Amino acid sequence: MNAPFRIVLAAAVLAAASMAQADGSGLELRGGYFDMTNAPRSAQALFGQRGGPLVGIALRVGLGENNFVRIGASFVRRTGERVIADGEDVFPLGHPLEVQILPAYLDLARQFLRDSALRPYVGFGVGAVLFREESEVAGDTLSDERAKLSTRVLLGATWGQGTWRLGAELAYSRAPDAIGLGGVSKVYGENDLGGLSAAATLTWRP
Amino acid sequence: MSQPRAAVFLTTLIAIAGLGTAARVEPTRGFERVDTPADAELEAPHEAIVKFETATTFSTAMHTIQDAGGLAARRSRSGAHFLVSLDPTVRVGEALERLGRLPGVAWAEPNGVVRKFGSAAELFRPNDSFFRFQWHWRLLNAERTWAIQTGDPSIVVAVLDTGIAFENFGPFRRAPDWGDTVFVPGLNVLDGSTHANDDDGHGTHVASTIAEGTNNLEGGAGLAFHCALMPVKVLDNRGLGSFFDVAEGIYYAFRDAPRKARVINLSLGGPGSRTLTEAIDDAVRAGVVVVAASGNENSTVSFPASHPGVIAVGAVDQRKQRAEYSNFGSSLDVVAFGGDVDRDDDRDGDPDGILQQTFSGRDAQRGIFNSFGYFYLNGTSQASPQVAALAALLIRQGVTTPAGVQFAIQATAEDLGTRGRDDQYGHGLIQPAEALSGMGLNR
Repeated sequence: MNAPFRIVLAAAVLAAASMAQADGSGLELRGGYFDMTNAPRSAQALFGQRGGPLVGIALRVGLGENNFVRIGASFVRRTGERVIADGEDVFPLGHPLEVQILPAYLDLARQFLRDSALRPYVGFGVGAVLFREESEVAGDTLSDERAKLSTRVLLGATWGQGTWRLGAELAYSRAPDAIGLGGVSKVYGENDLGGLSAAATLTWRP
Repeated sequence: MSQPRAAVFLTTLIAIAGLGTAARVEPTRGFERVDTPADAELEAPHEAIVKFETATTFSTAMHTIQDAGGLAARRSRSGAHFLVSLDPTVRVGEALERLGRLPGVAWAEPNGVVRKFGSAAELFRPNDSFFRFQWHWRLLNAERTWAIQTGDPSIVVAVLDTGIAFENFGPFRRAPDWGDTVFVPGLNVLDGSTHANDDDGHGTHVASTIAEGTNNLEGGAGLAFHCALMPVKVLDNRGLGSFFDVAEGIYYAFRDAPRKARVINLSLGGPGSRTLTEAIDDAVRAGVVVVAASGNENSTVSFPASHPGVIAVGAVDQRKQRAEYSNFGSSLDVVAFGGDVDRDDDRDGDPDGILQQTFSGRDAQRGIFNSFGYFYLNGTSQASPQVAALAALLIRQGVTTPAGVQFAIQATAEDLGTRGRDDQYGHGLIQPAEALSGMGLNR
């Protein structure tokens, strides 16, 4: 197991332990859209569009009345074809390609409007991005897998005061050197697997 | 360039061994000298190529040309160029000056000579699977390549050369190992007929590298063996031709042929020519991939390989080192295996040339065109069709523009020599399977 995942795992254990004791804790489900903002040409060449759906899950632990930490992971899966990409010209070759991106993170956020049902927040996070690429070429599987440290900033809000709370969140992440070593990302000089994500959240607070 | 090249060939001695149930081949070496024309023989024809600025009628053009001392003229397929036979009493330079000053004439240039890039040849006829002697395919990972793509007859590769032994016609015979290779109608530019038969052996060897019958229990293999071949004869039985004829062959291949070529291989070269340059530019603009050998003079890359838009191919030997004959320089794009018949680096007892089918050049000089066999040749002429074949496979796989094909070949080449592109190896040694596999996000 590599260093980024050890950090995330340790944080998860700590968060779970805290959750049992702290107010404002909850389990969060999310669904939304992830845009490969930092590798747009690569995404466009391989998948025909920059973005795609994401799903995720997180544990949220309150720290007092205005702060929370959150540990979670999202999952993005994209399918396309291997290509020859020469500048603006992209030639799909018919070999199926699948890319999976799994960002795992530990966020620290500050909430505002303490007595309101609508509680905006801002925060930042650190974590790791697990990247896996697999394609099939005439019976041969070509794959690449790596994990890199990532950072992110986020802006969101939750609504509601009961057991179930709705929310929305925008995040921007960076994961330098996760790509760019070969393939189209090298051709285009794109080495960052981060990007913008927009998600709706549903939080269950016991 | 001016030195006659010794050509070596292997004859075979078939020995019946054991109880008469097994045949064994014992190769016996023999030598034959095949001279390629010395420079002294390469005297340029007393001809000029004249280009008119606008379309003009033949009679008007002839009138204009005769005013300047031209005796006879032949119109090109493009219509704008005329090949003018000059009055032998008039110096070429003087005639060009007169022709260039005529109203409506864009420019005039001397018709020059191109020649095949000569090779030292060795004939070898094993009775076993010849594929195992084709070390170039093994080192290019051809078996993996064929798992991905073998081509399709809809992709036509034009071989502009000494012709191809593709049909039984007159004294000419079809080479034995074409298998189910498709030939589309070609052109003998030298006589205007469709019988572009090989009277030298060079063109058949080059064409066999591209699409020799493969997986047919006979002979060797070609890299794009399901692609179609178009024979276009632009070189004579000495391996010589003219700018005008090569340009004519190019226009036929991509524009006038009933089934048009997507790839043109030029295992030939000479000094620069505006006529040929225009023909190549027109072909590339029409979406045709033009591949040319860099030349065998251990010098700078020859024309037309040196022309932008043409994929210039140099040669490496079995060690993946630049062959000592291979031309180099800033316009070199990639290298492929050209071999070296003076080496035996794998110590298999055979010269490290490129083995493909063709016929004896010595016999051809005596008018015998059916001495077919499997010859080890070396040269950039042998490397160029490997790249032309890869270009055809890439087109079939979905890379549809000349620039895209060139990029795919270069971007996936094995970097040799100094890191990155260099003048000895260009972008490196082609890797057909890698090129056809394309690119993922990070791999």
